[in-house]
Amino acid sequence: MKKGFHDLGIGAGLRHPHFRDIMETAPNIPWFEALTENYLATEGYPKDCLMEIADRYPIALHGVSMSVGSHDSLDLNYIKKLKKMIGEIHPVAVSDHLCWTGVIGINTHDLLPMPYTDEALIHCIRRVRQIQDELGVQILLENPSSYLAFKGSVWEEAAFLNTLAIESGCGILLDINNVYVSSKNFGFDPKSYLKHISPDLVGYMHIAGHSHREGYILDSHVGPIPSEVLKLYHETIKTIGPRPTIVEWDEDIPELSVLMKEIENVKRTIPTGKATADSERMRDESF
Amino acid sequence: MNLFDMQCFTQRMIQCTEMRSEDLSKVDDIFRDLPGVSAIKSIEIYRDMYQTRVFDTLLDDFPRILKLMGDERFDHLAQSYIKAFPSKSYTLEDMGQDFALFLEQSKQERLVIDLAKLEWAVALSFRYPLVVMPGCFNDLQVALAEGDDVALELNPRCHVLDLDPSLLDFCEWLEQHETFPEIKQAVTPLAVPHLVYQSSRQVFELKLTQAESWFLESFRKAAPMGPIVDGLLERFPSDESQGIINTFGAWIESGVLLPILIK
Repeated sequence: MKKGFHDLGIGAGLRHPHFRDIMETAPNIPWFEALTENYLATEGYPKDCLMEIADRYPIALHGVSMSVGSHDSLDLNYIKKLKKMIGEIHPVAVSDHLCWTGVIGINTHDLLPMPYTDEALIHCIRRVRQIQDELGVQILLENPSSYLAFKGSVWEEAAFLNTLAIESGCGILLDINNVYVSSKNFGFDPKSYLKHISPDLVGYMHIAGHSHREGYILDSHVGPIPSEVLKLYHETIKTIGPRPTIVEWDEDIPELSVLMKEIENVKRTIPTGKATADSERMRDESF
Repeated sequence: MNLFDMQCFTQRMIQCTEMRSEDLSKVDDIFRDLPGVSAIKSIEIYRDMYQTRVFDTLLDDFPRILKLMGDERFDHLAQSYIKAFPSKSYTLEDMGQDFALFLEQSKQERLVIDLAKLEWAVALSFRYPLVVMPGCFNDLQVALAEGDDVALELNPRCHVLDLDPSLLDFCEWLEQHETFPEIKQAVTPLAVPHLVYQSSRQVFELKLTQAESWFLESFRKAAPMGPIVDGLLERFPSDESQGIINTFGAWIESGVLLPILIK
């Protein structure tokens, strides 16, 4: 992560329908997070726009295909392309997910949950080290939203993620909506989960909306941030101190002006109280 | 169960259309029920998301095939396609790369196969850089006047496809109609080349004449221009050949051809 990263404030996920508005009106959004795979396979229009926007705004690259947890060998073609893009965009952060996307050479294009076993942990630690060595940068891994639980899991997700980050040297991208979604689906206390995440490992955060389905909640990134997610976000800030944050909105993507209002809404509701001295200290040490 | 076996089983469950009875009991062995959904329902959630994601990508890339076939037939075809050609790429954007091949292997009508080729070429053409070459035709003329050897190559965002001659007319017709049972009768087996290219962020599809086709094919490998022009006039001694030579500057301007100076 680059110097000054932790002061970026609340930015937005960069989405195709907003390209023109952003380039023409240069909105007052402090930073954007681009979805890596949308630009890796193209040298055309989307890449042009990204390059132009990256000239004016700090950009983080957020991927979905690193497949950190897959038993397959690392897709070096993907890593090579990502490395090239890092050289072109100079992102403020590079992130992906704690998940696997496929095995035996197949990609399901979904963020599939890991079994939280010792074997999986050791595998992920090795894998993240290899990725960071290949890329030459630290990566951050996002806690996934999940709808599937393995009987064989012996680790709590937060502890698994902490240990993985400490042992591999990666950071954590803390997705508050994912914590909320998984807590409802799995029946655990989201505050307890957040308390177990080491604050000094958290590089930045995500907040988004979700959808209620029969028997579960879906991480759909739709609509304004629900109040319960905002509340959890505020709790987190109170505990670990502020972090750069991205508002994600992927379904029924609204006009840029609506997204900006949502960012303002999140800003306005952030508690004014400072984080504890302890969390401030940890934050400073982590950057 | 180790990580590899667990991932193989999970993936197979997500990609299958129906679980066998032995799979059902294995799902219960490996996964636990959640407060609101059973382990089997959990798998179904992922399966639905997988199907939706892949289908939506194919729908985006092949809108005319969808219109031609209708929802039900397209769904069935897409289902068989993703089973036969599961994605092996890091990007969903490659999902449709074997669709035309699949249609060919499953013995679909020529028109459908050609349409898939055309639609995939359109999708691909957006991936290549925009080439803005103001005045490059003038540069080329200066270079020629100065005696430099010049070659041309086909821009990588251009595709020459051998398509059914009625295809573009059909595409126009398709835009205006809701149903199309009689269209299959209109298909003729004779294929002619089409040029699909992107310029100023728009995709163009041109049906090529024989002379234009020969001209473009000859330049594909950046052959020196002099012999190509001579060859064109020799093979197609008509006004059309002269017209191609006179107007290929426009093709250069639009980025179909890239000039290369050979010093």
